[in-house]
Amino acid sequence: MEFGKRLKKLRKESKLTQQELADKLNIKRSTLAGYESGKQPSYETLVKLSDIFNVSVDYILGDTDERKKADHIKAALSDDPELLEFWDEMNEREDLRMYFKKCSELSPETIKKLIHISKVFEEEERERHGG
Amino acid sequence: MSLAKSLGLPSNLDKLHEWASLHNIYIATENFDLELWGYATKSDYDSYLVLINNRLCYEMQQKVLMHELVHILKHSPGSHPIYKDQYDIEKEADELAEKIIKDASG
Repeated sequence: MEFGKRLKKLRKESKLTQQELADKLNIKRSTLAGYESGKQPSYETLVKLSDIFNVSVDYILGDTDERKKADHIKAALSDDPELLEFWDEMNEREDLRMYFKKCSELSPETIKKLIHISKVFEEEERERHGG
Repeated sequence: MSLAKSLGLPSNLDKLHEWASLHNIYIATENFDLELWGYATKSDYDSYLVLINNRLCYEMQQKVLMHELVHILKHSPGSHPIYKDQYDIEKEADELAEKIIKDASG
């Protein structure tokens, strides 16, 4: 799906009017309308859109159908069942979502390293608190 | 009241590590690619781990550490609307971190 159509679809799914989304982006409604007609925004705007809709920039651009940022993390951990299981547990915890949110922008190697460190940290803390 | 104090941080940043360990916040450095500057995570036991990229210069490491501490103190669910846009949270953490460091350096 091309960029403009995907942006409009995401906006409608979030039940936002053009004006409401434009306000979130600090741009004019007419500028947003231009984006929905296919005009490409700046990279900074794409990152803001990615944060607002919680999807990857590539998804907004229509370059992939991998929608959720978490999917990117799961893909990076796909060859390590233990880390994948840990990630699934962590992803259920609301208090952790903010900390993991940015991971999706990273390379698979870095994601793996971070989730591994998080797992070791969790295990050490569990042990420190008596198991 | 200084910004650092209002967030619960020590006004003397030389004592930051000491303060962190008293608050169950572990700070460590790690070699990452430069795509990642810092990272924070929370255990199930309300303790935090903050990792700073060792490949950054000292001043940047201080800024990134403060940025992550602002997230922990101000943006953790319960102390902040969790559905606030991530972009706003990052911007706020950058701005507050810079101001705290500036205040501390006099």
